[in-house]
Amino acid sequence: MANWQWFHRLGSPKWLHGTINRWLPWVLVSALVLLSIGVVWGLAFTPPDYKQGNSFRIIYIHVPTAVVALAGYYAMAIAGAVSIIWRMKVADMALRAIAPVGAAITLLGLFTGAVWGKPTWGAYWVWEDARLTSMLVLFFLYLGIMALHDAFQNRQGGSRAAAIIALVGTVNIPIIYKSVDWWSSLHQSASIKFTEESTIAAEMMYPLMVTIPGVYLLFAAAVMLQMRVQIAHSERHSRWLEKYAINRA
Amino acid sequence: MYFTSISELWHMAGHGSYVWAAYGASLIVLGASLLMPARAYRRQLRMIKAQSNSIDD
Repeated sequence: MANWQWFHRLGSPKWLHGTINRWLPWVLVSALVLLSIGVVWGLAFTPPDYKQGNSFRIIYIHVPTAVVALAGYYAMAIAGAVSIIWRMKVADMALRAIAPVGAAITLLGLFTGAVWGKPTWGAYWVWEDARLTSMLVLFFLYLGIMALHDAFQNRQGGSRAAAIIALVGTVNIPIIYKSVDWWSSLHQSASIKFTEESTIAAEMMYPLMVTIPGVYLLFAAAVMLQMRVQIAHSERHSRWLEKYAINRA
Repeated sequence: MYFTSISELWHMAGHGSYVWAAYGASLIVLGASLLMPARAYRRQLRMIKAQSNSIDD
């Protein structure tokens, strides 16, 4: 017989609150350690690019933020699906928790790309570029989902609308991935490949292998923090949280 | 280190302003996305505690 206990436990805000509090310090510390190592390594201990010079060092924050912006959207859309299908309260909380963090990370991906574009392409922003435009759409999707949550009188209506938009917005994800292949783009295509040999020099790639998991973990930590806020809001009248609040101080 | 001095690291042969702007903005935005929910949560717990005290009194 399949054991569904974990699924029911996942639906318990109290259990989730305790689990987040247990994991949060580890996730946060690992993220900060990885990011410190990767950023110092990338900024000071790698040789400059033979064409781009030192501006290429932006890669160590640009690629991780862009990758996590997309992965975060996947996670949010899955939460949206679970929230619609099973009407699971925790899934709606996850949707609300991921949206602001995803928006912040996407904004960073766009900003770091712009300041990399200026010395490399001669422009901060190019409207004709499909990769840039589709990432901007991703940013607006995150913002739209945040706004929809608050736009409804009843909480449930906002949750459903936001979940539906999150699902509809997933059509943008393959467009972002394929934008550099489908349309002529200033943005280069991926140079780290899993199925064939990567076209980035190994010594330039190593710090990236540290900052990508670093930003993933930092994203996870920020979502856990947001999740705690959501739990505290929806459980504000429950006895267990009151006890916790009193014992904590 | 690849650079021979701190000032060389800072200037990055003319690309310093772009590179440091990218990392500075990242520090601010990532820091804020951790600090803001952490503060909101502490505020919520304080309120729950205050309400509980006022009921008990």
